[in-house]
Formats: sequence, structure tokens, C-alpha cells
Amino acid sequence: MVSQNGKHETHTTDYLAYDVEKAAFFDHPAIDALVSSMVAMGSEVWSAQRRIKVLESVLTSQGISLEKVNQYKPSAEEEKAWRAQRDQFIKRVYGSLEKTGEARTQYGAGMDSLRQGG
Amino acid sequence: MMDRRTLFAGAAFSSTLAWLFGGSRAVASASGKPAADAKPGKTPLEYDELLPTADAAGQMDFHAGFLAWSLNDFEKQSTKRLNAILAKKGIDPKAENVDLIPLIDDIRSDPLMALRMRTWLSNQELMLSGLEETLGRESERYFAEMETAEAKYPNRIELNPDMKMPTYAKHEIHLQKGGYVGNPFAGYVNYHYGNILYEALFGSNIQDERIALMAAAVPLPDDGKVERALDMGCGTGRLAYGLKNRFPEAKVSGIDIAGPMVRFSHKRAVDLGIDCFFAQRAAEATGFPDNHFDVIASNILHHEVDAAATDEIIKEAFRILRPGGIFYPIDHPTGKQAPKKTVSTKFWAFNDRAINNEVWRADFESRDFGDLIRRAGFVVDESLPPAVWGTGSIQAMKPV
Repeated sequence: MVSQNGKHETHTTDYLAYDVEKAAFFDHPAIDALVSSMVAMGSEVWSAQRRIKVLESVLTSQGISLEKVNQYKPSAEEEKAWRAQRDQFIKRVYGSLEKTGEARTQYGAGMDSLRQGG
Repeated sequence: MMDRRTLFAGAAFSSTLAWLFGGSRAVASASGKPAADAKPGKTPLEYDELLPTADAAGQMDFHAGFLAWSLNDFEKQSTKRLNAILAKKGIDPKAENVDLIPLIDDIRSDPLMALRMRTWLSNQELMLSGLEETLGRESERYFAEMETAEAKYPNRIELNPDMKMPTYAKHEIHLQKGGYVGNPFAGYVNYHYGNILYEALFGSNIQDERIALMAAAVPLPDDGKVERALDMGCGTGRLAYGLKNRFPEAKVSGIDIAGPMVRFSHKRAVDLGIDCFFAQRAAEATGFPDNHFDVIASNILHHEVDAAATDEIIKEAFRILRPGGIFYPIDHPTGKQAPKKTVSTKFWAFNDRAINNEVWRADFESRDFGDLIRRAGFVVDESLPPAVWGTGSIQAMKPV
């Protein structure tokens, strides 16, 4: 198989997809979606905190005060890029809520392993 | 497909991983030291040095921490809850071979158990989708890396794009999109996923520290001669690197059925300056000559192949091993080494299939792996300590 742009041999084959995205553990899938969203939010918040720590350390080491940070005005390019990143953030954190209300389906594979004596 | 009615909303699923890889951090500290100290190396790299963006590094750092919390603190609570549920039903948590099917509805309807499973699954899904998106955005870079490595050392890699891929290898094991065979960057994804998993369970494995312990545990043939060693089902190549580091004069090979995994193994070997030969071949039909290897080792290959392939792989290992050579498969314990089939143990196994898509694990664990190897003609010793706490211990020698 070749890559989407046709430039590279991928050395891949077809595969058997496993649909676990519709898994629901609570009485209503909306609750599952909220929990997923909460986990995603945690990853974003921590990632941002981690980055802030790096920046503050670097700034301090360069003798730059927080006042300068507060006065900073992003450029038009930055605004555009940050909006795109904001949208990615929102999709990542809240995208799971889009799955609310999808029909749940029978899940039998795990039951088979139990019947097998697992 | 999943329906809450039939999905067992989880007992200590994570304990499957903990049990496989040697226990949670809390358990590992109590279980004793590993068999050998990890080879000292460079200061471990952090996610920032491995992943293309700071955001991705931060997110993966979070997922490692979240998984560690899930496998330790949350695990303790869900175990207590499961035991309470069983106690209400008059079932001893230590009882063996209890039929789980009648219990599933009660267990899955418990909110804590549901939360336990939901948070684990959401973390797993976010981790893998995050890796796939991040790596996918840098696809040209990763293609170039693999192609450059292949151009630099073409004699150290063999790919077989026309090989017929057996169905058993096509599954999306532990939810990795495309599985090992369907995503050109499967090796990259699996490498980072492995780093996160190991960090959650033990601490860093970014520079293969934990896998070095497995390589160190591989027994020597009685005559001490190791000129050729094989990592069977090499995945991201880490055990092969460990074998090469341990036996620097030996010719070390790694085989895997998945092209993307072989490519990553080769690329990383080139990055690390390790001379190994990696080939896309099936473990049940390696193409190596009879009596070729002194040592054959594997790391968690066998519970990811079906029973028919397992039988063929064992026969093939016998064929390509020289008399006196050692076959050392590291995998889930089975037979008399298997953990007792308590309600919790069975729950972990169920969820490993139900929501982690470990398709062949139940097949593997329903049989006595040591006995299968013995019946293939090997002399089997199951008395030694395992390479890693929580795995089986099988040292098999081809008779002289």
C-alpha cells in the first residue's frame, strides 16, 4: 500500500477494526461522555501547566519579569494560530459529548471469553 | 460492539496489566528486586525529547500519571468494592472458578466499578488517539526517518510486502488504531504507548531499561555459546537490542509479522548504533535454516497469536534452534503457574478482551504453555524465577 500522497510505500495491510468507541458503562451514555471529557480536560490542563512551568523558568533565567508577559499583545498570525489550536482543544475535550445518545449495541466478545472458561 | 447490559463494568482490569508486567508500583516494591540490575545508560530521555510538540509531551505525561493512579489508588478502591459486592452475595473473593456470567449485571451496575472502567478506557483512547494525531501530523518526517535508515543499512532489514497476512495478526490489539499491520507508524505509536505503560507500572523504559532486565534473565545454553540469537515477535525491537547488548559478539535477529514494526525496530536500531537484523517474517514460518540459533527469546508474543499459530511457532522454534539451544518465551503464566482463577482474576481477563481487545489471551491461557513446549520435544524447566514478576517462567532446551 502507498501513503495518501502516493510518495511512500507504507508496508501495511488491511486490518480488523474494533469498535469500542460506543462502549457505555453508565445508565446513559451521556455520563460516559462526561467522564471522557473530564479525563481529556485533565490532560489539557496538565499539559498547559507543564508548559507554563517551563516558560516561567526560562523567562526568569533570562531576567524577564511577569509584567512584560502581562503586557504582551499577540500578532495577527498568532491570533489565527491560537484560534485553530483552541478549536483543537475544544474538539479534544468536548468531542466525546458528540457521541451522546448513539445507540448501544451488543458486545459479545468479552462474554465469549468468559464462556470459554476464562 | 459494546452494550452496557453485557459489558461487565470492570473489576480490577488494570491488574491484568499489573499482573502481566510485574505488579503495580506498590506491589512491585513489595515483591522483591528484579533478577538483575538494569544496564546503566544515558540519563533517560523525557517525552519532550521524543514527541514532536510540547503539547503532546504534556498530554502523554498526563496519561502516564493517570494510568499510574488508576492502577494503584483507584485499583485499591475498586477491589474493595468488588469484594463488598461479592460478600453481599455470600461469595468468598478467594473462591476459584466461580461462574461470572450471573454476576456481571450486579457488578457493572455499581457506579464505582463503572467509573473505574470508564476512566481507564477514556485514558487509553485519548492516549492512543493523541499519539496517532500527533504522529500523523509529522508523517513525512517519520517516513523519511524509516527510509533513511533503510537506505543506510539495507542489509539489516528485510521486508516482505507480498506475504499473506494471517487473520490473527490483523486485530487492533489494545485498541491501537490499525493494529500492528495497518498503520505505517504502528511502531512509533507502540513505542510511545509502551513507554507510558511501563512508566505507569515501573518507571521509565524510554531507554529500554526494563527490557534490559528481560534480556539479562535469558538463560545461557550449557556450553555458554551464543553466536546467534533471535527475538521472536520483536515488536519495537527492544528485546533484540537487549540481547545484542548482552551478547555483543552474536548475530542478533528480530522478526515480526508486521512491516511497520520491523521498520521502526530497524530505524531505532540505526539511531542507537545497534547492529541487529530485522525481518518481516511469521514466527511460525521463519525461513531460517534448521539448528540455526543458540538462543530464541520472545516478549509477550504468544498471548497475541491464536492457538493454531502457537502450536506452529513452538515447532518452528524447535526446528531452528540448535541442539542444546535455549528457547525462552516470556509471557503470561499458564498451567500450574497461572494465578488462581478467582472472581477478580477472571474479571481482569474478561475486560482485557472486552475493552482492551486482547483477542487471543483467553485461548493462550486456557492451555498449559509449558506442557505444549514439552510435547514439542523440548526439555522444559519451569522452576526458575520469571524474568519479570508476574510473567510465566519457561526455560526450554532442545535436547542434545
